[in-house]
Amino acid sequence: MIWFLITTIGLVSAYFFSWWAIPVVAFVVCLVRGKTWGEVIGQSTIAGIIITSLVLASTALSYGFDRYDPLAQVIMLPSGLVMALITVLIGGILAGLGGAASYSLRTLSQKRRR
Amino acid sequence: MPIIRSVVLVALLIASLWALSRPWGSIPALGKLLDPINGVWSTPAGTDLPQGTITLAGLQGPVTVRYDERGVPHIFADTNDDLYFAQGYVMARDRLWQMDFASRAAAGRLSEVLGDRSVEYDRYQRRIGMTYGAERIVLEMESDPTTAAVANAFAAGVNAWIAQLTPASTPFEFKLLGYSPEPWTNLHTALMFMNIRKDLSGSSSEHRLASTRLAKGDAFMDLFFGNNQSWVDPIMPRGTPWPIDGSIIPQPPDSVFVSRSLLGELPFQPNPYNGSNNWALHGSKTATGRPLLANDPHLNLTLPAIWYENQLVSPDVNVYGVSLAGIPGVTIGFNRDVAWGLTNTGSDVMDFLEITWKDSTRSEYRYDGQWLKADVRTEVIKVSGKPDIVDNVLYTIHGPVALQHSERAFNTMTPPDHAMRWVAHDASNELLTIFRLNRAKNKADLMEATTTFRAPAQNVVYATREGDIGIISNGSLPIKWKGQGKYPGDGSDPKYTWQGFIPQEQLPQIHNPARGFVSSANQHPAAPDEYPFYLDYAFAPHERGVRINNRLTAMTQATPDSMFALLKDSYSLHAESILPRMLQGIDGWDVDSVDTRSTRTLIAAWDYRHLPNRGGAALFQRWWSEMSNAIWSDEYPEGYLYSVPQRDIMVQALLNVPDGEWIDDKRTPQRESLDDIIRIAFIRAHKAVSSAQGDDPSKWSWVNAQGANVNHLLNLAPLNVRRIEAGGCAECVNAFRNGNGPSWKMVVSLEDDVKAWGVYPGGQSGNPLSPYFKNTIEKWASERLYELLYLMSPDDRSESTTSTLQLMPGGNK
Repeated sequence: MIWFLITTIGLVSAYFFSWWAIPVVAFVVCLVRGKTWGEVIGQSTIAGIIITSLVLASTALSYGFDRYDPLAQVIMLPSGLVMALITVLIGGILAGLGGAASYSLRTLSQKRRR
Repeated sequence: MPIIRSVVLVALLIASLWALSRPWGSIPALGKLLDPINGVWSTPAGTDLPQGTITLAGLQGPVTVRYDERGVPHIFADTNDDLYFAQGYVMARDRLWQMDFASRAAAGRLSEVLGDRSVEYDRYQRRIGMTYGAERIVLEMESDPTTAAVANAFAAGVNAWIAQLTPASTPFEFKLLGYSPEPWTNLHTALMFMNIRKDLSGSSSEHRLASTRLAKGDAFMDLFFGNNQSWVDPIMPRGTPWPIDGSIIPQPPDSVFVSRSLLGELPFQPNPYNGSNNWALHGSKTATGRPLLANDPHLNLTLPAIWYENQLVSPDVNVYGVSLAGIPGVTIGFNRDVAWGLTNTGSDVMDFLEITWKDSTRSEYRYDGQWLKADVRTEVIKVSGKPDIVDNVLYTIHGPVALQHSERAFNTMTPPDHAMRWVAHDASNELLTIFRLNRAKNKADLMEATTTFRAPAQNVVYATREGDIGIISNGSLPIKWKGQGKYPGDGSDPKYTWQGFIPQEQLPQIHNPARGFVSSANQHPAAPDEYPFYLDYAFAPHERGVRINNRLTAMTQATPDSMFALLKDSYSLHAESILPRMLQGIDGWDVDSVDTRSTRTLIAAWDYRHLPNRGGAALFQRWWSEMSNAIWSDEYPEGYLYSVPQRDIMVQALLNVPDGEWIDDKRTPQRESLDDIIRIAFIRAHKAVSSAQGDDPSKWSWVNAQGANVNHLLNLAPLNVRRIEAGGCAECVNAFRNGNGPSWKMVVSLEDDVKAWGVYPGGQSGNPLSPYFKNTIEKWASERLYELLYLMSPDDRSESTTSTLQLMPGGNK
């Protein structure tokens, strides 16, 4: 359920702040609820991908990604679709990194306590 | 191990966030840019025009803005304050980034957003006193209650839009460059005026001319750089009486001053492409019996365009036309009673004066036998991510010293240790002219309005519903002795100081002439041997002016269609005058090395028209260019400053002095004749065009040769429009060539119900994803113009607009 928590809180936070909130939310959620490396990295990444995909679907998808081709080409990407894929990928990687970083701190502190 | 892993992961997270939040070279901060909520993805890509009701603090009453199908706002307000507030609001909504960026560029503040790559540009803008001039405009603008109110209301409207900005409404370019707009002030508006002053009057060739004179002597200068050519058809027809008291014209010095720094850096070069056309036909020559007026100012063509189209309506005004982005009111347009258009006068309003410093501290300079203290204006250039740069600019009684001897010139354009006397530094209130023009009802109102327009000097053409037509070369034109300012002057000698300006009533002008039309194409305002005041040694080549006048003379029963056709005219008088001689040069010439038969057939059959599919135009222009290079490139040592004679003067010299010693290529032992040069140039042109467009001349085209592009203001390639299928050439009436040309085509018929047509290349919106970003380019390139929707009231022809935005007063200021 980590992915669901990150997705829900991350989506709301991203709208209020920016998408930098996504790795922060992943960090916090995994610090509190993370259980295994696989779960933390996998579900955080998936949550990041879901959040960015949902936002893109609500903003750009209705116009079609090809409408964004000129702007994508300005930053030297071939098309709006590729820009969308990279956006989603960055969202996933940042969330995954946020989750993994916090989980590593959590396991470290648990070992110290033991 | 767990510690290392934790440190690495946390560091990786922080490093990723850091790396994504900052730009890397030319790559923008991708994290901010790709933010799916606040970044590039939030840029609106839909087709909707604004509609609904918006509450705005600062409005006194409701304002109705109706948008037509091209996104042109028609603004209806109950007071002028609300009118200009709303204009600022809707203009900023469409063009905020352009306005912000252009005003920064004028002020020399690009480094604040672009970093150190634009420091030298910024320094240059400050050295030539752009902000200094703008500050003086502000003083004048704010000292008049009318224009103070207009400027304040406009700025408040712009700021009302800025206050409402959301990530979605923030222009893409702000996101790309990673900065936010700053509040709009009257100084920003004044800086936009300075931009157009610099564009239209900020060039000088005097340093280069002086160098040419040094090498070639006065006879050469008289032949190629004189100012009284018989073939010129001046704006005010020859024979126009000038009842002027010439006693105020100063006497020249005994000898021509020779600058000490002649062989220094390259000076400004005039932009050969700046030019425009306007004309007005009297009712006696039109089908309706009412005047027709046309105008197409030639400026750099960019996306977004320099112009913003709008209609402004309040109880004392109903005006339609184009505004310079960032400037309130309508700059070129019409109302129910009058129409007016502008072309650049092009008189010499910038002189360089060599400064004699007392010593190396450059704190005092010589003037009229005394040592005067130089003023210092400290400029602080803020650079994004770098320490500030402090630059002390020296000011003399003439103006700023843009370059000192020890310094490297920005873009090698300014002569060192020369002060600039530039009319653009003078205080004046062009906004008052715009305000009055917009409300003019007749000729007297129009003439009254022009009195406060000082720079850049413009040929103002007008037509009225009462039937008057006329033209005035209007602005601050310095009173000079003949030749003053042709070469750099002696800054210590008062003889080189301007002796005031030509009085308004003595400016070149003509009203309701017998020939039934007035026109201008940047040529001589008046015949130099008839008009008493010296204006400049050179104006635009004669071809456009003669072509327009020939066609207007022949017109009877003229209609708007006649005007459209003339605006679109791509016939080259230049080609007509010289190509027969060039063809004569290769007639019967048997060249062994290259097969040029098809090329000769092509050029011989060419009709002198620069239409997109004309391969002959591509060859001719290249052939002429190669001839010019062949003739002039050997005349001076490598790297030497020199001026190339104006196109039409060179043509006359080639036709009338075909054995001139300057024709010979001095780098070869034999003496080349004009035919030799023609042939050398022909082969070079044939090879160059073949190389660019293939070996089959039947497939050559003008559009491929000239580029025909309109680029984004930042020259972002994916946003540029390439290879526009439009004809035109520098010497054509339709003066379109790559990136420069008719920036607004307008035709107005002053009938009882005024009718007008217009188009500019681009679109109303500055948003690259908007359908209104470049939607008018195709129309602009065609023969036709849009019929302009001139509404009389907020409810007039409700079916003709597509959306309505209601602005309501309220909220906190």
